[in-house]
Amino acid sequence: MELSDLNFLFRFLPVFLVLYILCPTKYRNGVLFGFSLLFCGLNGVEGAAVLLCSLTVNYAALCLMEVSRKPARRKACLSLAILFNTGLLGYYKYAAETLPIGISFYTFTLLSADIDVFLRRERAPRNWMELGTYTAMFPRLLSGPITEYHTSIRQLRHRDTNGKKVEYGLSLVIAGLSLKVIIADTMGILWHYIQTVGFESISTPLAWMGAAAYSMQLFFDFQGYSLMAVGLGHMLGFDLPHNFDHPYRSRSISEYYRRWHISLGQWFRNYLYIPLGGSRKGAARTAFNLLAVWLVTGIWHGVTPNFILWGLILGTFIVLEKGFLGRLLDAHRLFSHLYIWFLIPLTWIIFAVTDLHSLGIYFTRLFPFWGSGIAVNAGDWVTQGRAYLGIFLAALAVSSPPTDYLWKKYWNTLPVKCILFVLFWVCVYRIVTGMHNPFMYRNF
Amino acid sequence: MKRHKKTTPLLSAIALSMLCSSLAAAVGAHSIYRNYNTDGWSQPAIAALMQGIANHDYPWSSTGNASGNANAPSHNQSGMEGQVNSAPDGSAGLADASPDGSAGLAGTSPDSSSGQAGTSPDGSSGQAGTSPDGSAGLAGTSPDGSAGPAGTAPSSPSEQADDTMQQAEPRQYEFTDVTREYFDDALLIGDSRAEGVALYSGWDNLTCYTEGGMTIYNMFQRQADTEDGRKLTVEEALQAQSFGKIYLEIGINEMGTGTVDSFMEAYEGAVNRLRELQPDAILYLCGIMYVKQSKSESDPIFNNPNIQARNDRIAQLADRETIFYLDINELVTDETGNLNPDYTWDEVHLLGKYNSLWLDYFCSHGIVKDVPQLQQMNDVN
Repeated sequence: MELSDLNFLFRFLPVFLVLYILCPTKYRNGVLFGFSLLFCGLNGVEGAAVLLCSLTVNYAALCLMEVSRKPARRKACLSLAILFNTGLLGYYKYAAETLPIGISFYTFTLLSADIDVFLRRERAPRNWMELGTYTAMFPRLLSGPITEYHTSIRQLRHRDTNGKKVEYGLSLVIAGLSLKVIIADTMGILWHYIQTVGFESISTPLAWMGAAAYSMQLFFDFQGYSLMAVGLGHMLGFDLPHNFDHPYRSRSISEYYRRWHISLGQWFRNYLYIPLGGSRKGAARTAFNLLAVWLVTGIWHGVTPNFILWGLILGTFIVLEKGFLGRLLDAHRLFSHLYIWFLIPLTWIIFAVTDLHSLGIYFTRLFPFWGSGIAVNAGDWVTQGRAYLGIFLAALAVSSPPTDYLWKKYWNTLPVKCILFVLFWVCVYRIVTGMHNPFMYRNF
Repeated sequence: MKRHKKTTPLLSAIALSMLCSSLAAAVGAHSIYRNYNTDGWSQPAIAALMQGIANHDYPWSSTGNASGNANAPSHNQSGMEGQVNSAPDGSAGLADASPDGSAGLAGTSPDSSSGQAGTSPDGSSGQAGTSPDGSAGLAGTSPDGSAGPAGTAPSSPSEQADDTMQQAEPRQYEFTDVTREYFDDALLIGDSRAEGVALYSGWDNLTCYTEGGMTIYNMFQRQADTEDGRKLTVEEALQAQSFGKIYLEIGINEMGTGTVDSFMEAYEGAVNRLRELQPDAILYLCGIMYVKQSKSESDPIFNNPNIQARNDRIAQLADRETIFYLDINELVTDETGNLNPDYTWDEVHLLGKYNSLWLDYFCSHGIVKDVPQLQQMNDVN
């Protein structure tokens, strides 16, 4: 089950909302935790067992760190907790056959709790269920956003909601669902087509269209999911952080990744980059720290060589941007935008194609002077271009600044509500008729 | 513009519409949507309603439009899961072809077991089921062991069979190698798999009316791009231009739709229509290409036993006089008998560079109608 399933939209969510609203405030965390466990269990009983085990071990570590006054004991607790969490994540990510649902995300959330309690930034959770609700609440269980413990745990104790918040949350849920089901899944058909044909047989223009389509698919898929998560949070009175801030308006790769999957970037900055010394220990150490963070970011996404390559290439460009490249980009606005729009889709292709041999073939189609294709249909891009021009334009339109302005100003007006109502049913129709894929980031 | 500060109109509208549509779907599940398979309780009732709308069966319609539906759902490009399982013949309670490949066992009219002329006189398909091992037509006798009244098999002792043999004395043609020029007056009609041939085989002399999502139920209504650039339906295009050979490659999209019998009924209807529109053309009926082993073993619908069940029935339509059966699976399967994993990415379609295999196969399975006569003359001499 995921947020764009019919079973979630038509069964799980309505039943949960009714019970949640009818329930006295002090029991609401319990209802949320119970339904989150059910949500997790419906995705696999083993996944739910792993979650419960992880919660229990981390809760024990948190309690010990809270009560203990001996630094050595507290350090030992933290070390064991980090070892347990990274070991569990590493095992399931790289050795086990199936990945328990959401483990990459809730493990980082729990690590944040461990580190924050160790550093005395925040008290330990009051009880096991509070930690469970904070970690596993179903709106964000699958793919985040990852929150920092010290900034968000108090929402478990005091939060309020009202009609406007519920309405805004629902609007975000429908907007996110539409981005996912209408734009991302349609883009996904083009990327699927390119893989079905085989990279050897696509023309160079289609290879570039494919890079753009995959980039857009990933963006709208994850952005759509994140909006749904934030929207559901709003409906329940939580204030979950936004994960995206128009990354394709960036002028450098460092800026792009401050706007893309913001919660993961912040986690790495706060819990890895800064503890490593950040940029305070000279240029060479800064470069090393950046490359280390990006190597870990790559490994977090997957252990195949393409993810490591992807992380290291991004790290290298970000290091270069700290030097001469950053000054060049600052001085030339148009160049900096073209730099992003050219480079980012190429890095997403490295991210998408896990097999290095196939990746090499794709790059020979992007840059045909490196090699030639097999059984290439030179006019394929015209046919596909006609078919997908509309959705590319729609993607551009919803990402444009005027759409932001219109949304902020008119989201609570009747015309926008009517549009959202129609979009909801269009999405339901598309989900039923099979024009729909699972969220991409649940694989990470 | 009026702003809604305290009320929740969107939530109310969504909740109310969900409730009403779910009620309509639940009521319709026992009437108009009874033929839609929504996997029991695994999907909300709304799924049947949406499938119905996709099939133009609306809640306010008096009866299901599933009967003879020309808009049988097409598969999506992400692997054909989620296929709508409506029954195109409208018969109640029909399920999909079963995973073991047996289907249509409720048939009453025995089929010919000869693999030739296997149609009953009224043009409907043979009703016999297909055995689980994939061999077709083995149930071609009635329970008492006698041939069915509608049997037209040449081996039948019935009077009709004698008549048929006396009338036709069909000349049997054998496959032979042909060159690329053979396809100058050839037409390929088919779904996304045939479209791969059209786009990536590199041949420009073969005319192609191909389109992803084409099914036997909608093929004559789908768009055909003619040589002069006009946009016609396949039916109109076939009326406008004559072809010497027609290759029909279709059937994978229909796997989740109806039964083998209902599929074959539509398939025979399409073949008969092609014959009417192009009486002089040689018709090549291509068997449905297999899927990859992992797909076949995991998919209750799109699996190779089910495909073979349909292929066996398609093969029975071949008379080796004007209609010929081609089985590409001879060329694209591996030692396990499934689609070669090296040839496909999505487990269903050939990679672009392997689409020329179809044409290699066509080239080695051509029919040249003068050859038997020459052979007969040589034999006489």
